[in-house]
Amino acid sequence: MKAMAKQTLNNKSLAEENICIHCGDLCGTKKVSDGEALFCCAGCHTVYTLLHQSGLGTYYTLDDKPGVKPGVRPGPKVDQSRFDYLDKPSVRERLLDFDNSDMGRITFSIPQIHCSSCIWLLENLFKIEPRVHSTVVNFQKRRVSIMFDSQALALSELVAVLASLGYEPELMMSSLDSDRPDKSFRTLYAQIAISGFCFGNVMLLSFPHYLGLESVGELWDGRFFDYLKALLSLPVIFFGAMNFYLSAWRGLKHRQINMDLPIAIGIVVLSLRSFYEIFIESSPGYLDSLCALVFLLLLGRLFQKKTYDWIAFDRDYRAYLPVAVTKISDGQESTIPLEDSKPGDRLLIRGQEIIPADSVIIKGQALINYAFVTGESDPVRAVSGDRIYAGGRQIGEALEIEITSEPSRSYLFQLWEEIEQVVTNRSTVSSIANRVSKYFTPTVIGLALLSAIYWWFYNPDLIWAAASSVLIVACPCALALSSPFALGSAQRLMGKAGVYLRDSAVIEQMASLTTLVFDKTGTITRSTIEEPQWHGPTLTAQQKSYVLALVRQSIHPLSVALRQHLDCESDLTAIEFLEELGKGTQATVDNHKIRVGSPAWVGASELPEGIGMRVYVAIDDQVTGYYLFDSRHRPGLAELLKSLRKYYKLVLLSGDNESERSNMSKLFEKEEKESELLFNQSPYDKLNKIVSLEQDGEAVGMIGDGLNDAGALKAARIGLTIVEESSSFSPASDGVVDARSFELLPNILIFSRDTMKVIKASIALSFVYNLVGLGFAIQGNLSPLIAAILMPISSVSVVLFATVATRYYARVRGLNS
Amino acid sequence: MNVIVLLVVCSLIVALGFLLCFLKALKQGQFDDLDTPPIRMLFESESDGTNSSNDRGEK
Repeated sequence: MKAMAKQTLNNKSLAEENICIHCGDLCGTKKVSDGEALFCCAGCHTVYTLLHQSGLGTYYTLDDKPGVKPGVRPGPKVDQSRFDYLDKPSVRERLLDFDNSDMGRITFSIPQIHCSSCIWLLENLFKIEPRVHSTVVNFQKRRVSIMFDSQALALSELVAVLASLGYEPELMMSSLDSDRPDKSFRTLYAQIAISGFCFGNVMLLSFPHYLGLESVGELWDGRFFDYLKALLSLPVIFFGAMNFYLSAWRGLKHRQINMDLPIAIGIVVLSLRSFYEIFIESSPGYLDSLCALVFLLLLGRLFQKKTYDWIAFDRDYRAYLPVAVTKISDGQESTIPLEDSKPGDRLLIRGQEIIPADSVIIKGQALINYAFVTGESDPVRAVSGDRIYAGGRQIGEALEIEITSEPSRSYLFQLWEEIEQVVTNRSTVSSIANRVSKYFTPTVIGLALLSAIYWWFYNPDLIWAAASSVLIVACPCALALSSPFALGSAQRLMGKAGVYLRDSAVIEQMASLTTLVFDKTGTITRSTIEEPQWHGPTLTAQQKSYVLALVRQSIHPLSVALRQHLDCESDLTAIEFLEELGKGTQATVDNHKIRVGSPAWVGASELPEGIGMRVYVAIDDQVTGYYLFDSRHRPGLAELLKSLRKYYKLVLLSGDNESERSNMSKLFEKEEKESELLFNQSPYDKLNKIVSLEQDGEAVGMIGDGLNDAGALKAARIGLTIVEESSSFSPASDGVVDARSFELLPNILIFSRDTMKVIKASIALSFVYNLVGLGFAIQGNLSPLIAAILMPISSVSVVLFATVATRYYARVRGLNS
Repeated sequence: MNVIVLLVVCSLIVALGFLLCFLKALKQGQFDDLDTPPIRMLFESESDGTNSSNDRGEK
């Protein structure tokens, strides 16, 4: 892991030749060479050798640096006993898709899948493990379904093989109940296909009429084409348009007028009138317009329905807990599913593992990072007899613990339960289409009545024609298409920029925000500490061991990072250890006084301000130099906050202590708009703050990362989570922001407002078309030809306008670079 | 003009056949994953007899 640390850009040229052929990382201190190729660690070398022995060298030619570093995920090395619990019949049954006497199929979620080489390797798995029959990868969902010989190959062996290649499947509590694939896309595709087919043919069959021919052929008085059109439009009316009736009906049941109501009315009136004309009046009807309308509306639905299948937007806390734990009974270790563990069980927690349940320490020194649960980034030290809580990550040595309460009664679980209760109805703005439709529908019905009354006085023959024409023309096809296309393209463009939204409706909520609330740890600061660099005369091995002896005593994250960086042995002990929060630490080692900490702490003269944190080292009151850590703030934070301040009220809610207040206030507090900085916030405090802001009439957007933000993310109008890699855990939210796109956040937020502008403009445009159509309709002379020209033209032009204008704004905001 | 009626009916039947083919493919799940097959088809098929890309149990 240490070797993974990235060095700065200035030794890039050197790095060119020093890159691991497997994973593409820089080769550091642990590099391995086998004469022809370099590897950054033994793990990569093992995978490379294994692949070459199995004749799978192609893996390295398909894509650059395809490898996934084995062991990035929890276990330091693949220890097959870790997966033993998978062979328990109860677990096995829940995981397998099907299992008959000799063949089983299982679907795994493997977030590490990222390139064509991954697909190739996984689909050639049978060359490495002959008991695997075949593998099919779904790249978009990052899923693999494997057919294997279920008698000969145990599930634990299969997972171990995958893990040894670096593709350890995600086996979390929630993934045990495997979800069935979503088939709603299939219905929509079928509706579009059938409507498109019927639309094309009906349009062709209408052509003779457009050209002024009254009849074609002699069959049925030359009305054969009209009857055929009626037949072809039936599937469109009853199958294609089904969802519009259902949605309109659902809206009416909740006493709401939504956009689908005028559409449903339009479709029904259009079809009734057309059938009346074809069968009673022997005239052509408007079925061509009807089919075109349904087809275009369905296309709009498809366009709006962009999903990011490989991102889970609604993971709950269970996804964070391990599926299996190591139980110790009578000195024997065994792996059991977490749900089978009960109070009184003794568990073994290895370094970097997560505490699965509230427990008491029996043996070992605990150094537990609760950052994900509480937001506090400094780890907590605990010794035997102390209580520790579920969700913390042990960073120190292996621990033996005894469970005190069932996993389902842990603090973590209760926190989640309460969040679910508190956050019942979060405020949202209703979609612009529905707001317009609220006024639009009564107006149209009123107009239809008015024109009916008018013609009742002047020419009663035209009542029916005029009133139905008004309802037909006013069918808000263009209106209903503007939102899906503008929002759909905006969502796609944001996705390309690294911001993945749950659905396109989130953009409307995003545009209404007035306040932004940031979490600190993991959100505006990175959760990992970069490798430090030494500035000053090179330290001797002896000096290094002095420093190491000192920092070993400290649990400050920087000390921990330094300890890992020094990576050498020291049998010296530090005595008279002293640590002061926010300043530094000191001790006497081998009769030398060692001080490590801030410039003031060691007595160094202040250097000009620069990026990053400096940790000074002084030996016997002589400052020898400093370690420079890259700033933990995400790059571009200052500019980001500066541009957001112009539009939003900014709030910082941090679970950390006050030590960072001065740094943060420099970034947050400027005269233009007020901002608030709150520290020591528990998850409940964060939730309550959001609720009270919403009650004050603010539209709050929450940007956070961990479970400690889960309540706030849910309570806020929109919640965005920042993730370092899309495979890492993120609590339920409306959108996931790739940490690399963090700088783009202001542009994204402003772009959501632009998108709403585009929608408003296209709605105005569609009103113009509606007015023109109404002009014909009220006079009672809306001919099928005019309808057939006007309706598609208005729809297509609105769709084009919405898509092109959204793309234009995305370019202006620098999103599609 | 009567012949056009016959032609229209014939062409509709042909087109209907294609529509049914599409619906059948849809039902078999051929449209469930649109990302992987385009990548998969670029892999070199190997000549060593092991049939890696053909007998894959797509379900």
